[in-house]
Amino acid sequence: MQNNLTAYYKPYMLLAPALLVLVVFFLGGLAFALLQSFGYFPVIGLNKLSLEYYSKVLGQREFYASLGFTFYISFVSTALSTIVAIYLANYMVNLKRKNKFIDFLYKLPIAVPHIVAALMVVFLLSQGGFVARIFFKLGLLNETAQFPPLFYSRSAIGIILIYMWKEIPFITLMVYTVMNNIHKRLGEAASTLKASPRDVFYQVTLPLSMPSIISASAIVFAFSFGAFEIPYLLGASYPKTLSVWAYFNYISPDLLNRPVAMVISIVLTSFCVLLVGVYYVFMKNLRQWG
Amino acid sequence: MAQVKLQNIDKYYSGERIIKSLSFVINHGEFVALVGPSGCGKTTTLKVLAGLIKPEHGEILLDGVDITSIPAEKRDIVMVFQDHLLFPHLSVGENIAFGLKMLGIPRKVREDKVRVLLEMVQLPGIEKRYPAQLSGGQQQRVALARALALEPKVLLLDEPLSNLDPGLRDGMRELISRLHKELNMTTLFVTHDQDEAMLLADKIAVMLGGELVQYDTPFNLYNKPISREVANMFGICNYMQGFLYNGVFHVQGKKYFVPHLTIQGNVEAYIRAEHIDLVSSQRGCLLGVVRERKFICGHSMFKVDTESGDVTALVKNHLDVSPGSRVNLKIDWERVWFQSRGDGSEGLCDNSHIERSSKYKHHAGDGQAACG
Amino acid sequence: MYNNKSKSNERSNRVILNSLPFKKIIVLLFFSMLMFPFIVLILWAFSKHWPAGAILPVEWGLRGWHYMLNPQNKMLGVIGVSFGLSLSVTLLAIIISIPAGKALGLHDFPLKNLVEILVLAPIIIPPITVGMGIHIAFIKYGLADTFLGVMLIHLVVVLPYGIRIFASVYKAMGRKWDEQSRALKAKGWQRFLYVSLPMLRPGLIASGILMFNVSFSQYFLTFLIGGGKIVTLPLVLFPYVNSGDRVVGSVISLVFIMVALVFMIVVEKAITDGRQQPQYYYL
Repeated sequence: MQNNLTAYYKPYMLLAPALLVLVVFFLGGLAFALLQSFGYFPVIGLNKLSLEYYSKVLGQREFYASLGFTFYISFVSTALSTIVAIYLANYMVNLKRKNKFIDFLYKLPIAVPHIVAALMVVFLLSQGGFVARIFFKLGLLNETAQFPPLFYSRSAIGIILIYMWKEIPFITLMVYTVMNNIHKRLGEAASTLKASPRDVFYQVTLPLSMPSIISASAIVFAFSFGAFEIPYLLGASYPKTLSVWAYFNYISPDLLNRPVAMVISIVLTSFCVLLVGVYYVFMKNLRQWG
Repeated sequence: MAQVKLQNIDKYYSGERIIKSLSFVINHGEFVALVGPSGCGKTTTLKVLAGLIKPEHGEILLDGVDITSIPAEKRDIVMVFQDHLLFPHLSVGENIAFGLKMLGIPRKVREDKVRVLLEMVQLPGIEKRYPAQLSGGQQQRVALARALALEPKVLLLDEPLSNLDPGLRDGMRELISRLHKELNMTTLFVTHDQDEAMLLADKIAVMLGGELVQYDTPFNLYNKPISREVANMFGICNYMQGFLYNGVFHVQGKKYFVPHLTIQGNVEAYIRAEHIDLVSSQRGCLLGVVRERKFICGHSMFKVDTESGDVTALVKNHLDVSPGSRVNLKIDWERVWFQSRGDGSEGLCDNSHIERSSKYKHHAGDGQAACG
Repeated sequence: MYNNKSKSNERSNRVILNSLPFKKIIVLLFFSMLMFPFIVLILWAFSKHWPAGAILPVEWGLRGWHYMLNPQNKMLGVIGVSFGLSLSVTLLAIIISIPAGKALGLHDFPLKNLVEILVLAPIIIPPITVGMGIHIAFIKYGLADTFLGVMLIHLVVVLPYGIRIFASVYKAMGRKWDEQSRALKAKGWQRFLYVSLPMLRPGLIASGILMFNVSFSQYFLTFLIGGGKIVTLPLVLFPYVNSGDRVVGSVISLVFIMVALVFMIVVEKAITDGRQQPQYYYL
C-alpha cells in the first residue's frame, strides 16, 4: 500500500520544483496582469473589477493599427523565414556528403542575441550603413541618405530582416534533423517507386516534416509577436507594436495608465495563444494518419 | 523479357571494398535468392541494382542495355525494403498508387489497379486505412503490392520476411512464391535464412565477404558445394581428408570402397550428417563412442568420437542410444561429394555419384574428368 | 511496364529552377547575407576612423578594446554579472528540469496534459505580460532590483526549454535501462549517477547551451525586474543599436558573441563523450 502510494505521487514529486517556479512566477505573473487589466490595483486605490479599460483600449483606432502592424511584422518574417529555411534544409538534406562548413556556419546566428543581430543589421543597412556606402560608391545613389529608410518606418523591412536573420537558422536547425531522418528512411523507397528528387520532396519529405515545420514556425511567430526590444528600438513612432505600446503605458508617470498597459498585454497574449492554437489545430488535421 | 546481368561490380565504402568484382546473370522469370551472413554485401548489391548506390566499377545490363548510370527513379526495377517503408502520411491505396502517380497515370486507372493488387495480396477493401492501422504482415503485403503496381521488369526483395513472426512468415512466403509463378517476374530476393532461400528460389547466389562464392540451383548447392563454408550453410557436414586410388578412399589407415569413382588424388570428402547411419554390423564402418545426443524435429543428432575424429550423424528418431554407448557408423559413400585438395590447386572435381546419376541418361559410359 | 514520358513536359519547365548551379547560387547568396553582418561588425570593431561615405575604414585602431578593458567603464564587471547570472540560472534550471523531464517523459499521471501545456506556455506567452504582471509583487516582496529576483524571472523563461528537452531524452531512453540496472542491484542514486546521467549527456549539452543563450541575451525582464541595478551585456548594448559610438558598440557585440560561443564550445567539449555519437534533442 505504502509503495503504491509513493508510486502514485512520484511524478508529482519529481515535478514539484518545476511546478513551484512555473505556478508562482509564471501563472502568478499572468494572474496579476489579468487582475490589473480588470482594474484591480489596490496600490493606487482601485479595488473594483471592471471592463472599463478593455473598452477604453478596444475603442481606440490606435489599437487596431497596432495589432495590424504587430501581425504584419510577425507574419511576414515568419512566413519568409519558414520558406527560406525549408529550402535550405532540403538543400542540405540532398547534399551527398555532409558539408561541415555549411553545418557550422548556418548555426552561428543562433548563438547571436537579438540585440547584437539588430545592431549588426543596422550597421549594414541603415541610411549611412555599409550597403548604402557601396551603392553610393557604385554611383547608384547621389548621397547615402537616398538609401531607402528600412528602419523607423511603417514598412518595418529592417525589423523583418533582423528577425529573418535570426529565425532562418533556428527553423533550419529544427527542421533539418527531422527532414534528414525522413529522407534517409523513406527517400530510397520513394525513388525506387519512380519518384524524382522533386517528387520525393513534395510527396514524402515535406508532408512528413510538416509537424516540425509548423511547431518551429509557431514558436518563431509567437516570439516575434510578443517581442519588445527590436520594435522598441527600430520601430515606427506610429503605429507601435502592441508590446511597445503596452510598455509606454506601463512606464507612464500616470499610474492610471497601468491597467491600460495590462489590457494591451493581455490582448497581446490572447492573440498569441489563439494564433498558436489555430496553428496546432491545423497541424492535427494535417496529421490524420495518427 | 527481362534479363539482368551484373559485370565486375565493385563498390567501396570509406576506402573499404564492400563488393568485389561481382558478376552474375539472372535470366527472365527466374527467382534468385542472394544468401550470405550479415555484412557480406547482399543489401548493397540490391541497392546497386536498384540504382540507389552507384558502383565504382562495373556495369549493370538490363536486357543487354547498360543502365549503370540511370537513376533509381528511371529504372524498371523496384525494390521492397526490409521494414516495409510505407509512407505513414498516405493511405494504403495512396501508397500502392504512389509509383503510378509519379508517372502521371490518371487517377481512375490507379484506383482500379489498387483494387486488383489488394485482392492479389489477399487484403481486399483496405484502401482507406493508414499503414499505422495495419499489422506487420499486412504492412509487408501492402509494400509488396506497392512494388508490383509498377509492373517492374525486375523485382528486388530485401529480407521482406525477416521482421515478421514465424507464423506470418509462412503465409507471406507462399504469397511471394505464388505471385512469382503468376506474374513470372524476374526476382532477386535477399535473405540470411538459407532454408528460406532453398524453399523459394530457382537459383541461389551465395555471397561471402563481398564475393560471389557459388551461384547454382538449390539441388547443386546442397549436393555439390564448392567449399566448406557453402556446405555448412546448407546443412550439417563432416569432412574427411584422404586419398583416392582405384576406387578406394584411403583415410587415416582405413579403406572405404567407392567403386563408382574413377578419379584419383588427394581429396576431401564432404559427408552430410544425414548420409551417416547407425548400424549393428561392423563391416566397412567407422567405430566410435556417442558423446552427445540432441533431438532435431524428426531426427536425432549424434556427435560421435571416432578414430577419424568427431563425426556428426543425423538419424531417425527410433534409435535409442544414450551417450557413452559404442556405435558403428555407416557412411553412404554413393552420396558423398569429393573435392580435390593440395598443391594450392583446390577446386571442384566432377566426381560424385549425384553428378553421374543426373548425367547418366545422356552420357552413359563417359569418363569422369580427372581431379586437378 | 509504364514509361516516364507522361510527365516529362511538365518537368522540363522546371529544369532551370532545379538545376544544381541555380541552387548553389541561391544558397551561396543566402550564406553571404548571413555572414555579411559579421564582417561589418568586425570592420567597425577595429576601425579608428571611418568617415561617412567611405566603404572601408581609413584608419585602424583598438580604441573600442581599450574602452572595454578600462576599469572606469566597469565593462569587465558587466561581463562577470552577465555570465554569473546566466550560468547560475542554467545550473538551477538543469537541476529542476531533469526530474520534471523524467516525470513527463516516463510517467503517466492525471492532469499530465495540463502540466504539458503549462510547460509549453512560457515559450508562447510573451515575457512582457508576465514581467509587467509580476513586477508589482516583486516590488512588494523585495525581489525587484535584486540579483535573486532577476534569476527567478529568468528561470521562468528558460525552464520550459530544459524540461522539454529532458522529457524527450527520457522518452527516447525509456525505462529499460533503469529496470536493467535495478535487476543488477543498483540503488536509486547509483542508477541515476552511473546509468541515467551518462545517457542524459546529449540533453545536458543541448539544454545547457540553449538555456544559457536565452538567459544571456534576455533584455526586457532583466531591465524591468533588475530596475537598472543589475546591469548585463544586453542592457549596456541596448542604446548602441540606435546611436552612439559604433566602434564601442561593435566591440561589446563581439565580446558578447564570443562569450556565448566560448561557453557553447566548452560545454560541448566538457560533456561530450568521444565515443558517443553527438545527438541533439530539440523542442
